[in-house]
Amino acid sequence: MEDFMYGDYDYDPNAEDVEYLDYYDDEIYEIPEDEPWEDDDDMESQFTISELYEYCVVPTVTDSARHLYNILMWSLIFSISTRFVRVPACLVHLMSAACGCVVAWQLFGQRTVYMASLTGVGGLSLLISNALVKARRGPWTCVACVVVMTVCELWWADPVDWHSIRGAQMIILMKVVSVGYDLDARTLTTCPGIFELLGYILNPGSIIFGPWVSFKTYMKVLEPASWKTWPILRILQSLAASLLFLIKSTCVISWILADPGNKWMLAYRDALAFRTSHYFVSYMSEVSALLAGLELVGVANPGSIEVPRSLGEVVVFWNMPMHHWLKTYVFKPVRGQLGVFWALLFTYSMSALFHGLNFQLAAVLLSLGFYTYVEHSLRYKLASAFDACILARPCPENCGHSQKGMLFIPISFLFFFFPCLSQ
Amino acid sequence: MSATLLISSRRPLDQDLINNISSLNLSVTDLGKLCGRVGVDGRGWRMCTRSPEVAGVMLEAAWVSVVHCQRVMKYERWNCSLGHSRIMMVKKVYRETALLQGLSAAALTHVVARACASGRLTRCSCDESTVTRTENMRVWRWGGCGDNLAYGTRFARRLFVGWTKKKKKTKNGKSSRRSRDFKSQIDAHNAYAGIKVVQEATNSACKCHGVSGSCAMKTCWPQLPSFTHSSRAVKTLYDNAVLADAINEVTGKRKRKRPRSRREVVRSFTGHDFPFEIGEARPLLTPALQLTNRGRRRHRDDAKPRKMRKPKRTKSAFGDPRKFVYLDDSPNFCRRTKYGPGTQGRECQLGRNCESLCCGRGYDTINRLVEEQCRCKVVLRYRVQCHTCSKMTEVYTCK
Repeated sequence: MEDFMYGDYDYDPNAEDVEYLDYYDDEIYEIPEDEPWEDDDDMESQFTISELYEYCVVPTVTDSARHLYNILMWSLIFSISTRFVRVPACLVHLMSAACGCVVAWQLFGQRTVYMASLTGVGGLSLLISNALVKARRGPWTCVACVVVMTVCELWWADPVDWHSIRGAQMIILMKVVSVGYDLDARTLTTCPGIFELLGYILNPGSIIFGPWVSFKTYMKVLEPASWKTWPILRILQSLAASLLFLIKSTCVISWILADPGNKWMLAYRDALAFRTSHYFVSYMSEVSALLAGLELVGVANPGSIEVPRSLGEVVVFWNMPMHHWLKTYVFKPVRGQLGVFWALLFTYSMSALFHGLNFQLAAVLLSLGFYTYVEHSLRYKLASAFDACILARPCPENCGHSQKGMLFIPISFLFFFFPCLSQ
Repeated sequence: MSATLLISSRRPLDQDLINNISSLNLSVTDLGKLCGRVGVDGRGWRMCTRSPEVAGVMLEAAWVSVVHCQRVMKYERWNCSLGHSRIMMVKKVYRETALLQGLSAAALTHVVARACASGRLTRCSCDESTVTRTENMRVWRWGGCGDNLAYGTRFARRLFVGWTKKKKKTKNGKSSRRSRDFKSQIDAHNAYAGIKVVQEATNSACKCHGVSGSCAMKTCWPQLPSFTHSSRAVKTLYDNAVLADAINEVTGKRKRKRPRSRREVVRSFTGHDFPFEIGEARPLLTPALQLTNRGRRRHRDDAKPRKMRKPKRTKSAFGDPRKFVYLDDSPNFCRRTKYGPGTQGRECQLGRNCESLCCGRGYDTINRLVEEQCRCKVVLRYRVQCHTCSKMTEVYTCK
């Protein structure tokens, strides 16, 4: 278009053009009676399977592979360079921090500045409170991190940027606060040095998608490992599962339920897409953590969420490391002082706070808190009335109930649709 | 030279012919004849005769543009009538010509993109230029091989706009390519506007993934909607077309008479940005009825003769590629002229367009037995079975 020149101005609008040769004859065009051109309006809403494959599956997988291979590759590099070769501890932590920084930079670009600020403030508050006041390190760190996150979200960061990094910010906060509380509770005897702290926070296996691992789990990285102890099969299984859930979330669900009749089916479809996306992220985080050499039991359990025993179980199996963190560092300290109800409320509020000041998330979490509390109390009373194992969580071995059979099935169906719809 | 592609069609096209054109062993002359039937000439004709698959695509694009043009202009005075009137239309630069150019270019883009996706055109390829186009800061990249649309765009641009990548400049700054006349510039601009419509119609569906629903990772895939959306967008462009006001750079004289103040005027290559003169509201009457008010006006005194200056390097000579540009006011389509068969006998909708369509002549009311499909139900997975009901409806035709 830049080649237009305004050279020739001999155009006279009223003259008959002679330069156009009239080599068409004067036949009138007849359109045939039926319209052979298919109206592709109807075809639009329903892809065929091959179109689905080409237009949705292939672009999704290739595009996400570009992002994901970074995480997996750097986790593997970290693992290979530090565990199968004997290196001094300081270098291990430095390598972990370096790999994590590279991964974050590749994925987030300039948005890593927010993560760096949170890491810096959290680490500083931890070390300073440890140096000055040898008590209440957990609460101080927590307050400092929450302040930084709030400032970041409300004033500093662009909403789009914030939405992309708030997951990673939450993980950093959980890690730092866990170290603080562990020091208070004497689970950790000595305060970690700066290198260890940086290596723990910026570990490539758990920086982007999580999962949260405790500091002790991280320190096991220093122990040498051999090829045989590596859970290769589990890694491959989790990788396959995550890709399956990715495809399911992005393509299949919106294809199967393309045009839902009523709004409840639409709600179910959206909720299912959200859940499968979460499973994809959870399994991917599991893969990256295992590749980096961090031991985990598991992150999410789709079976227990889709066909749950109770809503409480859904909350537990949604993200097992995070459930453990909330239980250990928020619920138990508060329960000791204020009782179960307030502790539960406080836990869900803190969870909403860490997820970012998002109204919808906060509403979902708080309502989940109420439901789980009600369900827990109700089932407790029912269990003692019927003397059966129908508590919200599975009974321990020595529960004292006489009926340990499958009586919970009717009860769990009562609560079946709440998990589906409340997410 | 301009490519008056696809906007003049002569004989009926069989759908079977379009479908089977690749399998038929057609010689170059046969392909040439087929392409000539739909009004392909010049550059387009050469491309058409090169291979049957390209010819098939062009014929299909001609078919698409004809059908959608008639569908979209069904209740306008000029309803994309074909035949000799079409040829006369193409020779001038009316709003309708702009619509034809834009719609043909859009149809070709759409059909080529689809043909690339389904594998009918084998020359499309997935080049990696999409990667370089993304900004460095952006992490979320458009996924997959969306280059089918890029190939379609390039194809249509090469044909309609004559866009070439390289330009060689001689010493005094002028391009060494042959200069184009004004009409072909306008045609190329309108065609480019039509291509842009299809480009913008492609939306990308995206999905976010991340911890607790955050957007740490975003996957997108492009979706090309049906051509009906694009044709409606082109119709909107037609409704909002602007008059081109060209200024002769050399002499400083205006090339055409001053337009009415009731329309928006886009000045080509002025030093300042597109001074829009929006006097009164847009005229509600169609251009044809305003012909009675036409008269030659004097040049306005504020037109200072321009000195020699380099044109502004915008994307198009006429500024905004989102507007259709025309030069002449449209002729009267009410009566039968060489530009159209007139509106007698056209079907109209009572209360909506009968008055404007019938040009004030009035309409006849006929009671007709119309058969339509009713009581449809889904039999198998994708098959619908309908009964046929007949009912009496009133049909209004212009006198």
